[in-house]
Amino acid sequence: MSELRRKRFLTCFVRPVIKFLRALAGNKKACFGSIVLLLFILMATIGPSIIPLDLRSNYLERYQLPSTKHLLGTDFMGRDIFQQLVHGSRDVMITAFLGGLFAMLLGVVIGSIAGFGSRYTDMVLMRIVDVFLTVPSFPVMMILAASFRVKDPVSIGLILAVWSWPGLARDIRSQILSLKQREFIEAAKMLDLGTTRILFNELVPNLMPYITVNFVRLVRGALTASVGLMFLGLIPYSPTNWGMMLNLAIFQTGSIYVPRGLFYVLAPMGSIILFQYGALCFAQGLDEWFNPRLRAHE
Amino acid sequence: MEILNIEDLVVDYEVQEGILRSVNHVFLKVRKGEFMAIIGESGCGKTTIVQAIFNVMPSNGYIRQGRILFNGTDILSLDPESQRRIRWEKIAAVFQAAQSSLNPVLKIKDQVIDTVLDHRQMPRVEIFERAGKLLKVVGLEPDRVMNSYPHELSGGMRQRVVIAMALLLDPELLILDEPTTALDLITQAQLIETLQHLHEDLSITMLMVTHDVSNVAKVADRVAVMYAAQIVEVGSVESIFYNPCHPYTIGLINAIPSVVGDLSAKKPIPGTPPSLINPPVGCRFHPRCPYASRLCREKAPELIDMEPDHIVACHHRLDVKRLQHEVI
Amino acid sequence: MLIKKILISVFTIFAAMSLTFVLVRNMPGDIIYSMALDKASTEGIPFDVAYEEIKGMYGVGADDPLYVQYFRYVANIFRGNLGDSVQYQIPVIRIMFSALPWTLLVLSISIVLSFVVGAIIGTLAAWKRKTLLESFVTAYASITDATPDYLTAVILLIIFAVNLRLFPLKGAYNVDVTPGFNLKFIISVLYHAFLPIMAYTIENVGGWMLMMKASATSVLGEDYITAAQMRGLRERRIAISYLGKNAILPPFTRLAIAIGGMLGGSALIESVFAYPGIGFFFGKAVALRDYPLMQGLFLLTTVGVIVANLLADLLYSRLDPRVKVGE
Repeated sequence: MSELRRKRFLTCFVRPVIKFLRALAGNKKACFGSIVLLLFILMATIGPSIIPLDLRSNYLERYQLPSTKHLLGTDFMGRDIFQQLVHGSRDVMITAFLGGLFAMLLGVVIGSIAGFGSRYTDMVLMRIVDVFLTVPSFPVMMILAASFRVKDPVSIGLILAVWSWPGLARDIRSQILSLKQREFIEAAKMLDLGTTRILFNELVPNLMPYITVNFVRLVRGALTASVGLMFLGLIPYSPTNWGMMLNLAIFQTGSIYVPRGLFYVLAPMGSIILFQYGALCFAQGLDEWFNPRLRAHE
Repeated sequence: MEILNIEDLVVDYEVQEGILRSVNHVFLKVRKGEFMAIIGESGCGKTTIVQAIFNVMPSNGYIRQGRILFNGTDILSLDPESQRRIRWEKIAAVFQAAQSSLNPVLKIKDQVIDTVLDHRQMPRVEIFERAGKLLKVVGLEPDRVMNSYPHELSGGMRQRVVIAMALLLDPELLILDEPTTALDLITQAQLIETLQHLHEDLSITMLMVTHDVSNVAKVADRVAVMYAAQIVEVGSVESIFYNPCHPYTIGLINAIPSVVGDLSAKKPIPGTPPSLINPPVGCRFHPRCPYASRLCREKAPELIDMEPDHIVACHHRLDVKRLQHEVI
Repeated sequence: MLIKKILISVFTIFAAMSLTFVLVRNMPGDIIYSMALDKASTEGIPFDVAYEEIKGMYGVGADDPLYVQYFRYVANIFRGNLGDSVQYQIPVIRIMFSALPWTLLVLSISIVLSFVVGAIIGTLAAWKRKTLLESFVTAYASITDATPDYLTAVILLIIFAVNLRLFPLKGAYNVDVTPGFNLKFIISVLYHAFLPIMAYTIENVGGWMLMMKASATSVLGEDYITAAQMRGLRERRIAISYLGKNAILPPFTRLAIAIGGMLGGSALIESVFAYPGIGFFFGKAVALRDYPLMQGLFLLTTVGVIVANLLADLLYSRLDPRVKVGE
């Protein structure tokens, strides 16, 4: 019995993971993307405990260029930029991850309700989706961020998610509608396999590609938006957040006018772009893996 | 006198599974003023020959060797601009799926004007006059059709528009690639009639490519039979239909369903056409041929004269001919 | 279909108004207090009167049933009565009308420029396969996709305004020119709009190129392209009238969404260049919690997206003869 269980565990969980890792290693883009993402995750998780943060101003060391002492130089108050970057990354990453996660959950739940629900439910939900898709998301996020004066990553994540789910919901719904027509679902119904079982055995594996690729997309969007909100100063002050670094550099301290102060802008900017590029490559690699048609096209 | 002379044409497609040779050392002559037909099953390379004549291969298709002589000049060796000039001015075509060969976002009149103006300087009034006359010839109302978009016309009407457009510049050779597929039977019959009239009245040389053997019998003067990228038999329509010497030709003719005859008399050829990526060694028809011998499995037959104006590529052509007559 | 579109539009406007209604009703007391204080001093009326007037205007703390309040709120908006900005002390509607032209100018030029350039390059990349252009398109699109639009704006600002000093740092025109229809003013306006336009265009052109390339590649497989080549049409004509005209249709349907995204992102880009459009004032309004201005500009943005949607639909039906108006 336990032997059987072990086997089942192997086929259900371990093998797909191994297959997935192999595919990742085989795809250049996905490989590059996952390494970049891994570095950022390491930076956000263990980075702050390894690298100390010293926010005391030191006017003697203002706008230092990168050196062994200050890896990325110092800012307008002589504080180490690299330290700020590492400590800021935790909030940025958690916020983006939560924003993506909440939006994904909303999208999957609402899309599934529309896909499985009655025609009437479907119609009402889709009209709501239309409305959400029409009204641009960033202004809504700005208003919500200002009205609720949020501070913790969870509520910021929620605000980021409120207007980001409709695209995914629509995808999920149309996937479910088309999967419902397919034979294996019919067959499963005929064999009276039970709805939950059909769901988890047949639909989930078919929807996983959409959900994962969209999750990465949503995280990217959440990161762009959260840094944007911080950049405009709409989320309460947190000096090491990358958006706040940009805000300070451009709107408040004039670091962009000081040639030696350029690193203060370039550090958060470069990190954002690198993260986005890594996530983009990762998502493209995933997409190619899930859709062999794309691979053949290359 | 040949208007079109295809010499040793080889065309390959690069596909995922490897190299697909769609036209394999084909020789073919079309004489001035005749109505020639190429018949064969779909996928045997007929359409590729047409694409090669126009030199409009899909991105994965390559003309490897051969010459296509039109009135003695090799089209393929000409510069692009001269090639473009020959297209439609000298050789026009009604394509397979003519239904979708019209640009959906332009009115018919604009497509007519484009076609004429890229070849000739002609005032619009004259273009309209000429197009109107041709549309009447193919049985359409010029005013209505010219001002329509393709989607506003029926399939049969679009087909006729394409035929009229093919005649715009008085071509010497008109190529018809499966002109009747996707049309209902009545429209098909009308279309064949129209084509016959055009051939007789305008004395245009016609080259029709089709898998529809019954239409060929109605209109063609000479017939070439193609199997698995190769020509296997060429002859006058009489010799092909009354005196076929290639087992494949016999199979094709026997496969025609007859309206009057017994349905069971229809005998499809057993087996399926071979893959063109890995064609059979020897005669390509041997896996499906009732006459196949060791020779057929080892050596590919050459096209050999049977009688004047009738060539066959079969090792057992004489036996086939004899047996065929005994059966009848 | 036209009815469906209009219904969705009406729906969306009401959804946006409901959002601002909730927002304004929950306006913090201290903001009402300061608004009333301002009103009292500028109009010379007692504070209590001003306080009640402000509360009545935004329906805060009213005893009427909710639907009556909502109805009054909507009616006020339709009368163009959006209240006064707390920060600027002038009617919100005046700020809206002064900001709108600048955003319209920059956005309309950017959207046309990026769409046209993207369509041309994308078509060329599909037409001339396996060339350097194709790899360029893919690489460019990935890089700009990875760069948020406001960072593109920051990069342009740092390079061209701060360091090379080729373009101004802020504003919509020089203070020494007289606004009006004169050459000096127009040149000054274009000079100031240049960097914002570039920021939007650089950011958006990659997506259009990619979309157009994919669309053109699939159109190239259509029979009517081969047919046009067989008809001996000139290459230029095939590329423009046969390939381009058909390939542009699928990307065109995404235009409305793109305009929405650009309008949404305008708060960031206009703030970077201190360009006095809707987004700039919206960013300010949100940061300073100027609720009346916030709601006015938010509604304006929503209406703008809806109008852009309807316009794109109308234009599309002119480009594709198979579609009747509004379908």
